[in-house]
Amino acid sequence: MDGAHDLGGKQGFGPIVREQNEPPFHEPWEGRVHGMNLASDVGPAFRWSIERMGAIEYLTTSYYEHWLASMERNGVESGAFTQEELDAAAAGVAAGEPVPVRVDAETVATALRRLSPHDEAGFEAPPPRFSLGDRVTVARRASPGHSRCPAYLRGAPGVIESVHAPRPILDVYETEGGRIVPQAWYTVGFRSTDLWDDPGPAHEVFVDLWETHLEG
Amino acid sequence: MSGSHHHRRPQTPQELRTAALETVLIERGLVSTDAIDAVVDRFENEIGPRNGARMVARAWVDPAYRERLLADGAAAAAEFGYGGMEGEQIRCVENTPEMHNVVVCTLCSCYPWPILGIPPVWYKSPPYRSRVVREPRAVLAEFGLELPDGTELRVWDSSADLRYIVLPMRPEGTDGMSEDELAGLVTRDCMIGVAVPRAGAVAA
Repeated sequence: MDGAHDLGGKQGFGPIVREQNEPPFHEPWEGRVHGMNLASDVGPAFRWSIERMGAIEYLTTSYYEHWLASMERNGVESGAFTQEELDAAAAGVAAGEPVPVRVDAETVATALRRLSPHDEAGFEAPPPRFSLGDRVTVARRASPGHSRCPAYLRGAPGVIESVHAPRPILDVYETEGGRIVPQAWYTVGFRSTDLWDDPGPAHEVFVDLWETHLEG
Repeated sequence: MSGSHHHRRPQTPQELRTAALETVLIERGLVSTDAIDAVVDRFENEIGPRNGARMVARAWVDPAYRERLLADGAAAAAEFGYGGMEGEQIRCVENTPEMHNVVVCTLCSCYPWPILGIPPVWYKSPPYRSRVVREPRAVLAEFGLELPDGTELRVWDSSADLRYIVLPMRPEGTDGMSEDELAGLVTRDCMIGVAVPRAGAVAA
């Protein structure tokens, strides 16, 4: 989707604003959102839900507001909860009702396992079409759904730098309700001079792309 | 622990929405209060750039560890007990006198949580994400890092399941330092690639 989130190479955003001694969470609600997201599973479309916020809203809200919007939308779309439940809870909170407390050791253990080293499942897929050193071209046509192919690469020539074991392509997973389609993926190197006509010394950009994103 | 939310009434729209969402997830049995608390506690107290700094310092003093780190960053992290979400696959890219590396996620804000923690706001913001792939030298200069002429520059845009960390060069003048002291020189920004370690500097 050609949304405002696809920022690589865009111009006009100004200087990078830094903060000294930045805390992990600036407000307690940010920590709650982070914790809720990691300790629950409200659906497969986390980033796809952020990307559909709308360009103006995306660019004028914070990282954890993106997460909040995503969880609300993703949860309703996946059927984890309904918009009516969310609205009723919001009305209750506004009227002063406290957030209910639930204590559950198993949920704690599951969440903490996600934050510890664990073995990753392997995936079967057709053999990779490309090999180390192959010249490839990034697909020009954009998908209307979630995509892990940044727009600034469209049509660009690159070279395969690494070939990785198959993983489910997240474009399909997020857009199609969690459908698993394992596919070879690659780290692809690009010369900046093939991407932009800017003055000054060149550099290289390396991007991880699935086979869908590439043409021979 | 950020348990204070249980006692203070939500004030801002963000606090109200967060409380409403938490209410629904709890009522549905999809999460528990103590699980949220536990995750927040981990990120506030255990998971952060000190983890990555320890790995970098180890790589500086132990050539065999450096090899393992460059071969498989997630396995090298697991040697310290670090791993999990957003760090299932980690690639470590090494700075050399000829080559400098810098990491970004232009589409989102992907970042190796288990070894660097929560990314700083600037990393998640449009200026960094839009500019560093296109004009990395200007961005590095804004961070106070001027690369010598002729240094090759590689920008890693973490768009899939692989997360990146930069292995910076060990600074001159640190020969007598212990591994712990060396780890103290390695800032978060050095491991993103927007800074380099300096002898005498102390990591925030």
